[in-house]
Amino acid sequence: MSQNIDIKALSYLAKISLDEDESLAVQEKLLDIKKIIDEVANLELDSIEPLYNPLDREQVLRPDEVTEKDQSSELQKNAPETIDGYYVVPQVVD
Amino acid sequence: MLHHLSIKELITSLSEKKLSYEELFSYYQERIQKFNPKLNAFISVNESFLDQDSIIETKLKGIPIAHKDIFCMKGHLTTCGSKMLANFKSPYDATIITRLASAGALTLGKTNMDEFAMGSSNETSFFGPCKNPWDLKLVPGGSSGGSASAVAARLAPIATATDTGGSIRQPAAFCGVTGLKPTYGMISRFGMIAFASSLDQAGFIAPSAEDIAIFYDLASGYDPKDSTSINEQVASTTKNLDQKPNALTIGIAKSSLDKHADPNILNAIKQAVNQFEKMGAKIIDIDLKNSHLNVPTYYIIAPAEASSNLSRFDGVRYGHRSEDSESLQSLYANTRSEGFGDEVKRRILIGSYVLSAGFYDAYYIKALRVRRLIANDYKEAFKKVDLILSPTTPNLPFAIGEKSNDPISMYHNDAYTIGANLAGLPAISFPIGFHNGLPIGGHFVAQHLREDLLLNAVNHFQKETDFHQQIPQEFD
Amino acid sequence: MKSNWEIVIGLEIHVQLNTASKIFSGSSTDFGAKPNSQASIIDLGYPGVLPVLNQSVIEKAIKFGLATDAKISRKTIFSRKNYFYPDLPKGYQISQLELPIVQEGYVEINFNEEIKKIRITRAHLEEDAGKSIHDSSLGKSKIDLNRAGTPLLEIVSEPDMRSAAEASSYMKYVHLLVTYLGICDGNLQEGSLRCDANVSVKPRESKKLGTRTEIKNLNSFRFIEKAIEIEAQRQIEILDSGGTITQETRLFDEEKQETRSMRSKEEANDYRYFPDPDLLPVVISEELIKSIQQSMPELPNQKNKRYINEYQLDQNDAARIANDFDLATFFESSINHSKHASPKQLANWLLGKLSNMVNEKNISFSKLKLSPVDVSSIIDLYILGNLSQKQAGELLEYKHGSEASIEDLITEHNMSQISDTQELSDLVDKILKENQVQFDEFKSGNDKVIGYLIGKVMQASKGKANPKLVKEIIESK
Repeated sequence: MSQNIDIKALSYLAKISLDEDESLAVQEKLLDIKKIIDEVANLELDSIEPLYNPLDREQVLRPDEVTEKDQSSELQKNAPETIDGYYVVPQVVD
Repeated sequence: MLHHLSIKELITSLSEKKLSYEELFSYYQERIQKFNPKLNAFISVNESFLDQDSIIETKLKGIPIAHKDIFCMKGHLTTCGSKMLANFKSPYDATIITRLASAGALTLGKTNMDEFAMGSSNETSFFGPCKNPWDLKLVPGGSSGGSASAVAARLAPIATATDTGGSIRQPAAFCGVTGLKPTYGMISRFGMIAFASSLDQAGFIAPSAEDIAIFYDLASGYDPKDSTSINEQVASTTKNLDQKPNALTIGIAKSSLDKHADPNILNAIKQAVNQFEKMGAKIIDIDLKNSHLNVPTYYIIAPAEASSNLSRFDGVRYGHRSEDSESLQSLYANTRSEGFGDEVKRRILIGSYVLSAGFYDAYYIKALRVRRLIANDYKEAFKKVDLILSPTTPNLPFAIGEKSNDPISMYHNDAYTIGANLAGLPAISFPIGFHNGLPIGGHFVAQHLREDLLLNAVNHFQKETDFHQQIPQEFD
Repeated sequence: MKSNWEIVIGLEIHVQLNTASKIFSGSSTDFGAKPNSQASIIDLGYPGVLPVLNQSVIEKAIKFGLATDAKISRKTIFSRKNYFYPDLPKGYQISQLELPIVQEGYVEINFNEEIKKIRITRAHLEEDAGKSIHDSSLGKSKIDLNRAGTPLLEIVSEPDMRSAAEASSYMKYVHLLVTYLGICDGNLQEGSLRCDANVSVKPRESKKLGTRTEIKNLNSFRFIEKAIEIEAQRQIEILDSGGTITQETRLFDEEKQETRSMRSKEEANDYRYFPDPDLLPVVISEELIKSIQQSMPELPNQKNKRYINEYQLDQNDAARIANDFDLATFFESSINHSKHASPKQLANWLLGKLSNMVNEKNISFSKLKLSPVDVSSIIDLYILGNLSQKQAGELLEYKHGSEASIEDLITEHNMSQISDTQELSDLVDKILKENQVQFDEFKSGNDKVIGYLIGKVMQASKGKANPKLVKEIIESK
């Protein structure tokens, strides 16, 4: 288990920008947290099934019906930027 | 004084027309106006409300309620304690709000909370810390600090709250009030802004178990909009509230009485045990042998789920958007860096870490295996006992600012409460004493769907004691 | 193409399931709606919303699994695929990683006169993303989230294909199959099927696969073939000159007839998959699978075999009908209603006159304003001799879209074929008198002249005389 956390890679994945100072501070704190969670990582537990959800139940299925109306004008009141009913972002380059 | 009355008494007054819902609502509005500046328990208040002539026909008849600002409320600010949603007006109501409104509850306002429910002190809120009514220099606990503080100071007869690792129970303990976290799935999560989906649960904070039972019955139950909602008939908690409990067997885990806990708290537990024995309960030792792994397990699972749940906050469809956004990448990165506070960022990063390639099995899956061990420990214990008792917190309320630079120490606050979230079990915190004027909370865990047992046991305890009736002098 | 290189192709086909509502929300899936008018708070990823699974999506996926002889998982789970993109509102896509609903199936395609088995590794369910429109004049991208949340079945094949044409054939077959099963509307223009191709090349004798590239978003059979050929050629040229292939995602540029590398969609993709905690495992019962099995339609290959064996259609005709779901349905219904026509005869009419009508009107057989009952009635009349072939053809046109009964139309257009022997005999007598020379020629052994004589009788009767009877009568005179 490597003792380092690649803050740059994580902040890129999570889309959170940190400057040099912030990166260092966060890295320190994350390493502290890592010390705690490593207690779990170091256990040998392959024979135990993971418990994903405390409910021991199955997914309930919904009938295939249209139940939603057009709420676009209402919802777009919340949007920071729209044009002609579209949400807008800086141009994406593919 | 109206704020000394229980909810049951208020409902009686309302139905006997001794009191009108307008008078009651104004009464609390005035208290909020007068006292909230000292506490900062509310992020937003309802200035007015629509005439509700038919409200007298409902079950609640106009009982006012405060809602934690994590519940989406149509047409109202729903901030989740964050800059990211500081100006967000929800276009829809959370199921819990719809159900309580239909049952006749009137909303006083939205309460303060740790940002995105991440915290144990209400200090990470974008809207400033909330104060503990018992000592304004101290934290009320978190993340439902505002709800606990408001109820403790009687600015609302009851408040909704949420609990992911102890966020209902710990503030309830710090503020000397009662707080219930139901079985995972008993109250719909639809409209409750998600932190950690497999751990989050909505619940209530009020002075007494009796108060909570009334609201719990109305709010709980299957919601087809929430796939993790339980579809099963359960016993009404209000109906069973006064029934004399059959001789209860109460288990206490040695690990919860460890020497790191404040001795005054351990003492109060001893007193509570005596009280329960007097009431006919049997006390035995149990062993939750993996409980030392509660905190590390939680701090893998919760941040992992949160890191994904919070990806939707990107400045495109709602919420904060950075002015500084030349490219798509900078739109995302700047919006999120500006909109989120430090603790939220940390948790998103550690969450991304434990899910990332190469670490997923070692951390996330491993944590889910430990989760099963912890759940099994409880299952084993419940073969021998009806309820498990422990302190709610290892320490008394601490000073604002004291732990804000030490997140690790903050995390250990939840050592006794986290187990119930990991196993999805119902749990309650209730006042069991005071030390130097500061409240102490006792904590019960029950088996799945046994909220009735929790509320019944605490109700009977509260008939024999008056800790839950204490109100800080400043606010009485 | 250098013959010592072999192309290896695997296809990932995204099939839009034709449910009324989306996979996790109750929004409509209709195509072409006003931007964002079919995007609810759930589709938009609002704070606090939760997904609830559409039952029909499970049923349609099971149908596909049964049709491809695959393993249907008795327990299937959904996982989150985490990445940021404007057309992905939650910042994650709900998809399936472990325990997909369908695994290890196969299809058989007709390629180069052979039957080839293409294995399907898995088929899993996921939600579709929205659409982006890039506006360079504004320097902005406009996002429409109507499509976000539409159910997709992603069908992943093993790299079993060895040519671009074969890949195209496979895609055509999958298109046919999902339309047949009624799980997809098959509309390529509307993006109901989208295909990504994984392409690599290797020396023919080698067992080791080369590095592959992924070409995304190929939405027509033509494009797939072209794009794969061009990409294979590109790879061969690189390898021939001593270079190596970079594993990457590429787009096909139709105008420039080349593939180019995609930038920035998600570099260094770590999707951090984990099971979605908002959804519980879906448990699929034996009863459900049995009931779906019982309602399975006959598949194209099965129909093909049956048409050849039971109806004695030739291979071409059988294939033409079996590969068109609407036509096959029409054909089988006509057989049920017909009293006198054989399936072969019906097939001829359907592949001839009626296919022409359908093509002219630019529709499919399901949109034809003629019922199978009408068609078989009219063809029966022809078989019985009450109508000539020409008349039958005309009557089909008249009946198309008309409320009038066949009898009324026959009367209206004066179409009844004269089959009365006496009446015909009299007419023949008249014609033979007028064409004595030709009749004498016929009588003296020139068989070919009968055609001329029959023609004259037909002319005189304005096409109404029953030609078969006329021939018999002339022969008997």
